[in-house]
Formats: sequence, structure tokens, C-alpha cells
Amino acid sequence: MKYILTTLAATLLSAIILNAQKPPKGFEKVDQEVMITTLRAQMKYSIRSFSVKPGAKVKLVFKNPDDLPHNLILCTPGKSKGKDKGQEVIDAVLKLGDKGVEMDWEPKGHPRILHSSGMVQPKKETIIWFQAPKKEGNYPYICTFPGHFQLMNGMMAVSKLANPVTNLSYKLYHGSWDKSPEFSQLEAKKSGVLANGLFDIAPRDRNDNFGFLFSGDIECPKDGKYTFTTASDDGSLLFINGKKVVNNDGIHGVQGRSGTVNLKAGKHSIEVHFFEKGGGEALAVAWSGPGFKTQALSKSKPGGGGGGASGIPIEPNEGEATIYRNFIADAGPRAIGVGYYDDVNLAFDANNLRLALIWQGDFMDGARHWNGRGQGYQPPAGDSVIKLPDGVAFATLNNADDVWPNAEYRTKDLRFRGYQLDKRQHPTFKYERDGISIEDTPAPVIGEELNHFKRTLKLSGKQAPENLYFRAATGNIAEQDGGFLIDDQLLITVKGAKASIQSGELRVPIEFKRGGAHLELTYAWTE
Amino acid sequence: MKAIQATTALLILATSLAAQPTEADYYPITDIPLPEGETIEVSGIDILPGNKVAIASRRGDIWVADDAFSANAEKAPDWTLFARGLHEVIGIAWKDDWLYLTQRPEVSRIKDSDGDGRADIFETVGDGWGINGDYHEYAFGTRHDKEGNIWVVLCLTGSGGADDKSPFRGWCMRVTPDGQTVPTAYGIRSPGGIGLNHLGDVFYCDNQGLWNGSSSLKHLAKGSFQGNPTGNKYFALTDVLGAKPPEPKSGSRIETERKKVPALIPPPIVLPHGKMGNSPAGIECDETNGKFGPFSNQLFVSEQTHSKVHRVFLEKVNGYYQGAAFPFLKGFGSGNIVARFAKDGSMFTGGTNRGWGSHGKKPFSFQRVNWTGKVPFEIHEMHARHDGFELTFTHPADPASLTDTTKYLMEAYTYIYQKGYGSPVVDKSTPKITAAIPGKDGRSVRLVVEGLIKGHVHELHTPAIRQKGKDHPLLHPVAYYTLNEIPSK
Repeated sequence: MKYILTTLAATLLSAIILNAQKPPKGFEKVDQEVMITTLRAQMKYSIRSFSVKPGAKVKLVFKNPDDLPHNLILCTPGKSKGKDKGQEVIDAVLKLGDKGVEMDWEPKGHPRILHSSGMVQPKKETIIWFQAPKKEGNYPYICTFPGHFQLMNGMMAVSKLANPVTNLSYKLYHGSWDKSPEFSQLEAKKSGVLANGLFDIAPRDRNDNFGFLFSGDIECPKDGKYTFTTASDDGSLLFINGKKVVNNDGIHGVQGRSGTVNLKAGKHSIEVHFFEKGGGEALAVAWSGPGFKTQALSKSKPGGGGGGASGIPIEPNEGEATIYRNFIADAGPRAIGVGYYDDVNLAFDANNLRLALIWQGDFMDGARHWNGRGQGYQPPAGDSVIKLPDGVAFATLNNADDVWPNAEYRTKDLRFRGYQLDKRQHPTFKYERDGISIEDTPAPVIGEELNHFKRTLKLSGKQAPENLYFRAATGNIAEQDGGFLIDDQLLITVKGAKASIQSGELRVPIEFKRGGAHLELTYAWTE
Repeated sequence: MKAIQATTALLILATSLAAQPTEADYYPITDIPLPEGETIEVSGIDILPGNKVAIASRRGDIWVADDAFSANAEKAPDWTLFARGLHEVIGIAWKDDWLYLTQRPEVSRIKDSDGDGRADIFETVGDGWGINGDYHEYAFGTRHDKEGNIWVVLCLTGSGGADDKSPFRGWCMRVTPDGQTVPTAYGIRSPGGIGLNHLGDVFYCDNQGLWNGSSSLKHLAKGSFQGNPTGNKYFALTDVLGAKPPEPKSGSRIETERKKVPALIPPPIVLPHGKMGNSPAGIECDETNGKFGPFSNQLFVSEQTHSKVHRVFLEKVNGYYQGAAFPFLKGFGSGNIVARFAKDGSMFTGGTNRGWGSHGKKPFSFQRVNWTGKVPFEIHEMHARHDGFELTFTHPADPASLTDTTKYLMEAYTYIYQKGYGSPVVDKSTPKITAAIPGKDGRSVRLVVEGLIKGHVHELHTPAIRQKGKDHPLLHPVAYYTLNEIPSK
């Protein structure tokens, strides 16, 4: 009886809250507004992820311009590290069976349901007012109409780092400039507030010859070094406390630029200047700081330094890796991207038979190659991208410190033989060099410590090679903790041979024992 | 009274219109549902053991249908994802428990070694060419020829370039069973597809553009020059095809230039741009022994822009392939890229309109064409003769409808062979049909023509021909014969 009463009360309560287009008591002023619309005939939400601060009061407007009914059910975090999309709720919906229709495909009272929009009919909208959970984590939201959830889902991150920018306002200017003008000397055509705290050039009224001056406050969680990045077409500048930190000025296509500043915990003023002369226009802003990786301060994150296309994220199945063979920036035209389920990724260059990139977070976005004709190179979708040396990774040297052969577009020394996938779709790459077969198996290692890759290189052949070296890294290399620290961002360890710094490069001599050599390397991000 | 007459006339007209057969009476097209939520821009099809059908997609996935033969809009096959994330696969072939695929940078073969339904071994078979990050660097691969080779045609970079970083753009390469990549022919611009005929000879379609006045179907004879000299710079990388041929003269005619450059072989079939279609793609030979109707050993050419399939009859004259193209079937869901016959006579078709629009408005489609068993009244074959042409029909024609020479319309024309993009129709003439002699039982007609022109397309319209006893006109009363060679007497 108590259960029924509770459910009834909950239903009534949710009905009251849900249907209220006017704010309920206590929500007259909210901390954050989010608007999510359905995309017509695409079975998708317009917003795939957003973040809120713990305990924040949120107004979520859910609009459905599609021709099908949709809902939006916000769930508690799943068990699997932010990949879960409310599976138990989906399972419960499937169990509704015939009753599904009358229940509006909502398993009411399910313990994982936090908030629901109810079924929103075509061309209708509703508002959900809620207080964000106190507990940080990833809270998935899904449409439970049968067949929709696979595509129609998103993630609400509850994080103390959410929306660091407050009091964000913009001024829009008209004019034709070759570099960022003194906006303070000009008269604004329009001004307004960006309540979501995201830098956005959407309020423009034209697509050429305009500029924006954005100003607001940014809250730093602790004392430390902060890096700001803008990626813009055309120019942009970023100021903290009136001091220029990012100079990305001038006429150019989408181009990323970063700058670093030491800041105390607390609020600081932030200004972004942006202008567009002709052609395409784009602005993305992001920051990173002590204890957190790159976080977007605009709807999209600045791509790997150069504006990757977005809209078709490629993700592995649960517990597996997924492959993407295509033109990948800094990995060549014959790249093989591997996105592991554990949010670490790599790209292998089959033209030069080398590990080309490793990165964290999102894997790749198919939008560049899967829309239109698919021209050009796509950068990784994630962050903490580390580039490994160009050119061949194996070479014969007379002396350990000889100059490494110049990088070619495609090596003739090695031949790609393919790869084998294990049960989790993790590849072992295979290639050959002068009668030597090489098996190259990278594997993600996820633990309490730093995420890293363990890479096993097995070489075998009838005849032992002479003076063969493997080049693991170039750059600024220092010995540290029994390994080698590369450019302060990557820690490499080598087992199975004596690695050393030669000619400023990390090299490993290959010596055969019993018909082969066996190297074990680790590649760990330092943050 | 007048009104009644008019009504009667209308009724008669309506009745006769209703009685006119349509393509769908003979070759209906059936939609085969694809896995929900997936984007499968079908770019390769092959039949696997156990009547399974494998399809490849431009996104690089391989899907396998358990039963696509009885599938229709209501009854979807069970689909299995066999492989994912390959590099724009165009052309797949099953052989000896391996699925061979042509990806942009290589011919590979893949296998499910542990029997879980997903491929786990991905082997590179041959990769002796380059890519440079340009979308136009497509690679189209055949099934195996008699020696076990896979033939690959490589589009130029950016449709008109050849970079040192991406060798052998504009060439045809053979990938041998032992993994060699052998330069085989050159002079290619922008292929849309490739295929073998019943004798194992290999053909491809090249699209209108630089050095291609119109789109055409070309014969990849070993060592042949297909007409676009952009990729000839790669003669610096190989001597297996001898020396680089002299540059053809821009603004000329193929008929003129082939006399100076013997390796230049003229396209066996010009597919007049805009008339037949705008973008010919895959080539599939009917080797179903009659299960698809009366067109055994003829070629079926997918047409991307017009969402059609053409029919092509080829003959050899003076050692060169040439012949006629006919409209066959229109109304496909998307832009046709590939077709594949199964042994039972089903023709599976796949298409996409990404990047290049199509009359079929679906972004991608997988369909099946089946013959109803009724034979349409069509021109079956069109042969060149020393003094004209001979047509054969799929049914006897009413001899009376064959004899009036004024009821045939013939026009001859060609295109400029030039460095610039495409060409208008030029050198038009109207050869005169001086006699039309019906063959035995009305099964054929000999057309004696004055003014045949070597190297020209001869476009023939036959609106007056009627099927004997039925009064039906030809289902497609038009043919385009490319007369590169005229047989001797």
C-alpha cells in the first residue's frame, strides 16, 4: 500500500512538475537552462551531452519538432564508466509488452529513472524543472519509444567543473576587418546574454563581415596553470583579467591556438574577441587546468588543433574496440584508427608501419568522410593527442647514434600484411621487413594509476638482423622512474632490450635470441 | 454523337495504353530491408555459400544476409555484421573460404576463423599503388578472373591529377594470387565500376570528364591505353608495359588519335552522356543460363545518376570489342553502383547518392530484380555488318512493321577527344537507311545503311516495329551502337 501511495505521489508530483510551463516554487531563478530538441527524421537529440554543477537548479526545455512522439528520460549513472545508456530502463520498457502503449513506454517508478518528460507528441514541447544530483557522474538520457534509444540518447555530466563561465554576455558588431578590431571603439548592433555560459556565434544576423565581443567570469577550481584554446575562422583573441592569453588573430580557416596563464582559485574575468570577414565562420573555445583535461567552453570542442568535422561519432561496442580505416590527420592516408572501449585510442600508419597517434576520450567522428564525398584528413575526436615520430620505426644503423633515415611518404623497407582481431576486436598488426615478421599488439591498460597502452612487439625470422633499431620517440627526452619522459607528456618504458637516448631520440637495439626478439613497451600519459 | 465518339476514342486510347507492357511486367524490383539504424551505401555484393549474400558499404562495413532471396519490404533477412571500419570497400568476391575485398589502398582478404560470424583475420594481399587523402582516389575491384587475379581500376587524384605520393592513379592493376601487383593498363580517368564478361575479359566504365567526351564502357586489354594521359607519368615507375606512348593531341577525335597511338583502344560502348545516363558504374554479366531471361552473356551496367540499369551487347569486329547499349530498367531506389547475379537468376543491386545525386531519392538502397518468366519484346542483339546493321529480336516481329525504311531514324555523331571536361556532341550526320530486309519469321532485320561513319555512335530509333500477333512496340525502341570497326564483306 505504501508502495502504491508513494508511486501515486511520485506520479502526481512529476505530473505537476512536468506540465508546469511556469516555474515551480524555488525555480523562479535557475542556475542553468538547457534546450534539447529532437532532430527531424534523424532519430537524434540536438544535444548529445551537457554538464551541470552538482545541486544546480536546471530548466530543461524539451521540444519535439519531429513527426514521431519522443520522450526524454534522465537516468541515474550506470555501472560501466559512463558508457551505459540506461540499459536497465530499456530492458524494463521491453518487458512492458502490450501495456507499453498505454504506459507511454515509460516503466514508471523504475529505480534508475530520475526525471521524465513524459511522451511529447509531434510539434509539442515541455519543460522539466529539476535540481541536479549532488553526486558527480555521468547521467544518461534516452528516448524510450521502442527502437529509438540506440540513436536517441545523450549524457548529462554532473561535475563541479560544469559551466565555469557565468555572467556571459555578447555584443555583435558589423564591419570588415583583416584583424581583430578595437571593439570598445565601435558601436554594437546588438547585445544579449548567453545563459548557458557557452561562447557561441549563433546570435549573429549575417554570415560575413561581423564580429563578437564576449565577456563573462570564469571560475577556477584551484590555484595552478591553465591553458586556454580557441579554434576559429577567422580570427579570435582571448583575454583573462584583461591580459591577452590566446592570439589567434588574422584571416584564416579554422585554426587552433593556445596560451597558458597562472590563476588563483576563484572567479576571473574572461573576454573573447572574434571576427569573420568572408567564407566559413566558426568559433570553439576550451580550457584545461590542474586536475582536469580539455573541457569545452563552447558547444563544440576545438578539434585536434584544426576543426574536425563532427556529427557522426564512432564508438566501440561495450567491452570491444572498433576500427576506422581512413584518412586520419597525422597518421596518413592509410591510417587504421582503433577506438578501445576504455576511452583510449590509437592510429596506426600502414604506409610507414608505425604507431602514429595515441589519444584519450572520444575516438573518431565519421562526419568528414561519411557526408558528401569525404575529402581530406580527419583529426581524432578526443583529447590528450600524442604524436609519435614520423617515418619508419625500424631502421638499420651502422652506429647507435647515426642519423635516423628521413621520413618518406611511404616506406619501401617494410610491407604491411594486415591484422588479426581477438574476441574483443583488439588488433595485432602484422608487417615484414627483410625476412623478419613483426607482430605488434597494443593493449589499453586502465587502472587506478595513469591510463596507458602496453605494446608488445614480437619479431621473428630465420636470420637475426644486424644493427636493427626501433625508434620509440623523438622530442625532449628525459630519463625518469625507470622510463623516459617525452616532452613532459608521455612516459615510455621498455622491457626486453636496453633502450637509450641516441642523437636525442629514444632508440631500442633489436637483438635476436632463439630466432626472435620480444619487446614490451608502455606508453603512459603523464596527466 | 460527337461527344460519344470522343469518349469512345478516349476509351480505346485508354485501353490500348493500359495494355502496353511496362518494364515491371517482366523485371519487378523488390526492396530488401537493411538492418535498422544503419547507413549501408552498398558498394559491393557477392553470393556466399549457403545462399547468403554479402554486401559492402562505402562506410567500410561488410554485412551478410541469411536469406535475401525471399526477402521483401515486409520480410527482412537476418543481417550479421561480418566486418567493420574498412576503407571504402568497392568490390567483394568470395573464394575458398575467404572474402576478398578491394579497399582504397589495397586488395585484402578476410576470414572468420573461429566461427563466431565475425571476421577476425584481415590479410593484405596486394597494395602496389598509393593514396594521398583525396576522396577521388577510389579503387574498384573485380571478382577473380580465371587465373585468380583481381583487377583494380584506380581513379585519378582529384579526378584530374596524378601525384608522386600516390603512384599508379589512372592505371589498372592486377593483384595476383601470390600478392604481386602488376600494372596492366593505363589512361583511366574516373571509373564507376568494373566487371568481367563470360569469357573473362575485363571492362570498366569511365565517366565523362577530362579526355572523356562522354561516359563509356571500356575494354581493359592488357597493355592498353584508355585515353586519359594524366597517369602516364607513372611509366617512370615500371617497364612492364614498355615505353610511355606519345601524348595524344587535345581537340582531336579518338578515331584520329588511335591511328597514331596504337595502344589507344577506343571505348567499345559509348554511353551518350545525358541520353543514356550521366554516371555509369558497375558491370555485371548475365551468366545465369537463361534464369534472368533471354540476355545470356550480355552485360548489365549500373547507372548512378539516373538510378537505372542498362543492357549491353558486345561483339568482336576486327579484333576489337564493340556493340550496342540499350535501356533496360529504371526506377531504382538510389544511385546504382553495383549489381550481382545469383545462380537462381536474381539480380541484386545496390546504390548510394552520397556526393553525387541520383534520380532515386533514397540515400542508399539494396534491391533485387527478378525475371517474371515473361519475355519482353526487345532488340536482342545489334550486329555491325559491312553495309549496315542487323537487329535480332526476343520475339518475332510483324514483318510488315520491319520493311518501311522511313520508319527508322538514325543519327551518327561523336565527341571531341580533349583535355577539357567532356564534350558536346559533334560531327552529327544522318546515315540513310536504304533497305530493311526482314529475316526468317520476323526474328531479325537487316538494315542497309548509306553513310556509316567509323568511330561514331549510331543512334537508332525503331518506333514502328511491332511484335507479331500482339501489336506491341519494342519495350525500348532505341539502340546506341559504337561503330569503331566496320566488318569487311
